[in-house]
Amino acid sequence: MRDGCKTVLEQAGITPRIITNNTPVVSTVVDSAAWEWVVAVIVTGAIADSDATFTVLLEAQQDGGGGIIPIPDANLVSQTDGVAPEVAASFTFASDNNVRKIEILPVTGLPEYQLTITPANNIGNAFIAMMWLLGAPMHGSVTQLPA
Amino acid sequence: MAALNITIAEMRRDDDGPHELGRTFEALNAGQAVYYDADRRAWGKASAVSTLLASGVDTKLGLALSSALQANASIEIQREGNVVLGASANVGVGTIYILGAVAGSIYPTSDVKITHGRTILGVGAPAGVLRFSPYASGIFPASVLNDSLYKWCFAGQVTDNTPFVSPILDRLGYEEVTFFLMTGTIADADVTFTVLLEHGDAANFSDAAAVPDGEMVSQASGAPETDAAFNFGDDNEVRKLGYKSTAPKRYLRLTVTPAANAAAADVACFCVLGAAASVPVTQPAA
Repeated sequence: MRDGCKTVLEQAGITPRIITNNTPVVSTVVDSAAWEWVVAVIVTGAIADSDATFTVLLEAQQDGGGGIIPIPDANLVSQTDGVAPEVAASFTFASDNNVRKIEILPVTGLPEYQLTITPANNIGNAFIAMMWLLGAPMHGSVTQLPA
Repeated sequence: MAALNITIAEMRRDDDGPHELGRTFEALNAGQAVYYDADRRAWGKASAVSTLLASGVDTKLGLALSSALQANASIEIQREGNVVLGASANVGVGTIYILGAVAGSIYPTSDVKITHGRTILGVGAPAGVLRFSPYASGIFPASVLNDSLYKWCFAGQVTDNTPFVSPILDRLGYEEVTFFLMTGTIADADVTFTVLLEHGDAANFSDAAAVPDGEMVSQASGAPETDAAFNFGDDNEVRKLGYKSTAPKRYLRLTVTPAANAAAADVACFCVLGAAASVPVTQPAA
């Protein structure tokens, strides 16, 4: 029996909010060390604009202040077979009330990741949220923190 | 450990083992694990985290003996046998090798992840040899992408006491049900949000009833819905609530009800239906 409530840690990535322009929204950095899998989940609400697009980018943070680098497709799992992972997780003005998911496979030596949602052509209200799910902890059950 | 680092110049096929010529549907390198796609009548890189077919189920698996720079190139494939991978590959004698998450890669079993389909490729032998004998089990023990359906519940801003109500969710075929909640800015100074999980056996929810505490899983140690509730002081926080796999009903609905709210509060929620009876799961948009 698998129990997502006791073995999955939920962390806020991009807290629920309305965005009204094209400023990229950058998530918190998640540290996946000691976890077997990491999934980024994007939830949309109403998207008012009629031609906005929202591009998803996943990056890994290098140790020692080495900056961030894009995560190669080979280290991402797409929610849709045959579609590039970040393309499948991206969305548009027509994606009201949708959910997207993308899994990050461990990048050797780079356990910290961040996700950026970049709107284009957006001048209306768009409600977005994004969460990190960290699963299969190496040690026992998970204690859920408030954030 | 890591994937076998195969140097093409060091590879040597096993003339006694079965091998064949084929065509590719993508570029690939010698030394990569490949599978045959009957629809495309061509070979491509096998993967433990893609489809059942790509993991080798109901098709042929092989090891590419030559590289292909592009699709529609011809390659030679070893189907079984003692393939010399060379000294640089660092093949562990006695180590069991499996198909990896990175397409075409070969990993020792110590690297297997819960997200990977279990496809055994062979056993390491002395002198850089892989005793190649692939077996695709079709078992994806708990891949979060492949065996889980993510369902949209609600996402929006509320400025009064209007409840957030999820769609009626059908858990048929899934062992695990977990609701994930997240708050953004909560502007009101005394608002509270209560959480209610209901279940029923009728698709239209005509028999809806509150779920007993004993059939839910709490994120902490208290009453499950109380632990998942939040208030004016819980800006930018997360909550979760589980429905036990042994709980009896098929349909579920989650409601979050504000009280004493007179300002904007941003809330989002989704549900993970996990451990599907049939994989891989096709993820719809909502």
